[in-house]
Amino acid sequence: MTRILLVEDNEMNRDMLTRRLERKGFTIEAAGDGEEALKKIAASQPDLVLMDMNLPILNGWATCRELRANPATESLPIIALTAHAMAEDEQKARAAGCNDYTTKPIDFPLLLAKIDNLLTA
Amino acid sequence: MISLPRLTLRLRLSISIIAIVALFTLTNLTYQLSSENRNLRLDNLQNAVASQLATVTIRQLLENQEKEILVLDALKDGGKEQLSKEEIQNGRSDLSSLQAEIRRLKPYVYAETVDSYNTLLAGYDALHDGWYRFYVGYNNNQTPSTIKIERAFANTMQLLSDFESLEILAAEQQTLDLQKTVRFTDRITLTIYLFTIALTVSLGYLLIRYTNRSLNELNLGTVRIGGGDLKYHIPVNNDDEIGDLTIAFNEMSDKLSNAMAQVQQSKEKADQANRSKTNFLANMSHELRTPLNAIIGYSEMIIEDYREEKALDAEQAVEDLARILSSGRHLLQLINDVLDLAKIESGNMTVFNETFDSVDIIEELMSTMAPIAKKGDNLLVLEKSQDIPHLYNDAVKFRQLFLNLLSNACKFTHNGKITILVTYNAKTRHAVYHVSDTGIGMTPSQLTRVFEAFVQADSSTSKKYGGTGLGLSICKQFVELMDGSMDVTSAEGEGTTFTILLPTRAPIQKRTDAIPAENQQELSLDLKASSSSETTSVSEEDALGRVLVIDDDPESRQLLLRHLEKENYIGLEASDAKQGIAIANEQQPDLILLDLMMPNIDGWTALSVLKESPSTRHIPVILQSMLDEKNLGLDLGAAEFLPKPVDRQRMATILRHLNPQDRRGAALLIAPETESRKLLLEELTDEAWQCMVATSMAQVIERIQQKSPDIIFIGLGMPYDSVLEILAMLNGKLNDGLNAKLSDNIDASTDSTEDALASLATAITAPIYVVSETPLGSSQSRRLDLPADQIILFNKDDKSNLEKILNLS
Repeated sequence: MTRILLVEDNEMNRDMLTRRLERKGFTIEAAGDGEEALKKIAASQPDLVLMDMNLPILNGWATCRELRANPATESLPIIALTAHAMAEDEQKARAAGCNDYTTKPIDFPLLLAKIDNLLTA
Repeated sequence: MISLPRLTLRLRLSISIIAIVALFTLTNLTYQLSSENRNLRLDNLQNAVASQLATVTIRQLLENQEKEILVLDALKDGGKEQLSKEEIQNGRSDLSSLQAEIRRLKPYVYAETVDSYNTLLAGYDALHDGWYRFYVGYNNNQTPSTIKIERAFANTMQLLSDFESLEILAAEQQTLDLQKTVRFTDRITLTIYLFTIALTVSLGYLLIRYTNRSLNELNLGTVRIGGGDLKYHIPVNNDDEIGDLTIAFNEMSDKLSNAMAQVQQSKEKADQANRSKTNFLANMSHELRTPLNAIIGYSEMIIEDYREEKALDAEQAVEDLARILSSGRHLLQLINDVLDLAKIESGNMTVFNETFDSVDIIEELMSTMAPIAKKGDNLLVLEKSQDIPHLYNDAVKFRQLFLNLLSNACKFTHNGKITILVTYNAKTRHAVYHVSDTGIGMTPSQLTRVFEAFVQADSSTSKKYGGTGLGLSICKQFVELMDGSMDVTSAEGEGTTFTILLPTRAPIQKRTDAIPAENQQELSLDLKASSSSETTSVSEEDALGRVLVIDDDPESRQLLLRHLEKENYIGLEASDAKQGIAIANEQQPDLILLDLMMPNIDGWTALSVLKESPSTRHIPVILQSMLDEKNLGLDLGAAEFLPKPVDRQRMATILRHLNPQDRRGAALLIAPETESRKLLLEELTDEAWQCMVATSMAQVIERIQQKSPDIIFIGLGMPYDSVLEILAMLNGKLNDGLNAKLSDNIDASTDSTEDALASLATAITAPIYVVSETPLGSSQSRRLDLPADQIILFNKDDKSNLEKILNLS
């Protein structure tokens, strides 16, 4: 069973994505900010992280950089989920260490393909 | 390096030429003097030689005469017959010629030679007497003693020798003097000649060197300035023409540098605006995507549920649909707010002023908000002083503003108190509103950005409290549109207080910024609509007049409008030439303030359009520019020129002078651009005349077609023939030649040249005055064919004639 950590501060989006991904057979754990995400990753070691970038307390970019700096999580697959849709936003996310990037509103089949792609690679 | 006195180049050249001419003259004089001297001495020498020759001849003659006497004496002793009458006569004439010869001798004017000459004459006279008596007495044997004659002869010969040697001495002396003089004058001439050459060469060298140096500096400076170093000032070393040129050049580079700085500033402004726009777009995109994500996600889920016909959980579905609904509403709110902001920023947010009781509105809002306040366990309190006057402002915006503030306060406060305090400042005539809460408050850094668009305390705020992050930004802009001010104080955890000041009477209706060209139609309709329900604080009856401001820069436009309001004028505004021309046509303002530097259509073009159109050509246009374009502007039909930045006092004076409701009339001044014209213009403007200027027949016709003058002045440096021609035209006395000449200048739309001119001439009932700086000759006055009192003298010393006329009219 693939375990995914969903880091999202917007309650509605968190709820929606959790339920949709669970229907597809993933085990979802959610976090509302960067710090919570780091704690949960250390504790439960998920297979993949879906990360919103505009997060309170510790933002997505900083969280990614910390994950990449830690040997235990340096190759953990991360997909950035963000409402920032400019070209440089993708650059910024990739520079922070994200493996892939998708913009909101989320194209769900595309997200599933990206998850699949990263997990089978 | 030789330091030269501070002289102008022209003076320098003049001095050099004068010095050279003076030296040349001196050389000539000395030469003249020496040659005269030389001639004199040469004459003397010639005289000396001549008199020496004469003495030789005289000696010969004397000796011959003596021999003859001696022979005659011997013959007489030898019993010779008597002398014939002829012989006596010959002897006597010989004596006479000898006497004449001696008297012809000219002595030098030395005392010695003169004395010696006189002695010689006396000696000879004695001898002559002896010889004469010898001839006379010969036949009577009464001849004087030959011994006596011998003695007298010897004496004369001796005297002659003495005289001769003295003459030689004198001649030698003369020669010596002559040589000395010649040597001396030659030396002087040569010296001065050499000095002249040296002076000429050195003056030339200095002039070339000095001019070259100055020009080189100027050249280096221009190269440097041309290379882009606009801050560079060429050093001004000389108080002369080149110095003037340098100063002019420096001024030019200053102006250029200022203009460049301005351009740079505008560019930065534009860049800044562009950046904010991009930022705003990025934010917009972000803010739209978040609720869309929920809408799309939940919708897809529900669709999936129905498709898969799973056991449907109705409760879950309702919950999900509610989320879709709330996200949709959030989007709607967002879009409304953004549209409001865009409307404000594009200047399309119109303010509709009306009189209303602000306390009433607040009380109404409080009852609307009561349930929400109650939900957060908040106490809603209104405190007010007794004297709150009704406001004349935009009530709709007021309501939106306070609704926003109250809902914000309710949102961020729990179990607290929300207080609205209303007071009135009678001194500034402002109503003051404080909206305070005891909510979560803000940190100082949050406080500084609270009015920026899309800024909320942090992103968790919107999660917890909702909102678009645009509300306060809109509030602030609303308050500014309502000519008030808005401030905020806050302490984290203790609460926030918003303070709003609103004037009891809002000023002129505002439209903030550029209006796109495609909205022209709509705009003019708007203006008509709004002018019918006049919204300015200056009422139509009280106002001195209506002034249209055409300026692309919103700040300077607002400044002008404020000035206008303070001066009791109704301000109309346009942010570009096209809009300005449209408003001028429709609203017919009394005056137009026109900025010259505008994008797309510049002020010059606008000026010519305004002056060509029959419906706007009568409206006086005041040009505004950083650069001094006064003369060109007046020549192109502007009524006045107002340099930027605008001085309110000056603007007021100009408006007063030009305002058709106030001014005395239109004066047409036909004269080339001179100091006197300027002087006359000033006089007329001071007397509140609206002045038009023309410098040619064509311009005269153009000006008259624009506006029929009430008084006409012609002259002051205008060629006499042109004056006659224009007078003939103005008086309607046209001949064929003039007709032909004029036909080019007449409006093509009119039927015929003659008709046009006739109507033009009849249109002119204004008195015509010929103005002259100096009194005219009688024949000139006669040809003008004007009454004597219409030919006036005007110059800087004598303005009495003009004043008399102005007082009459």
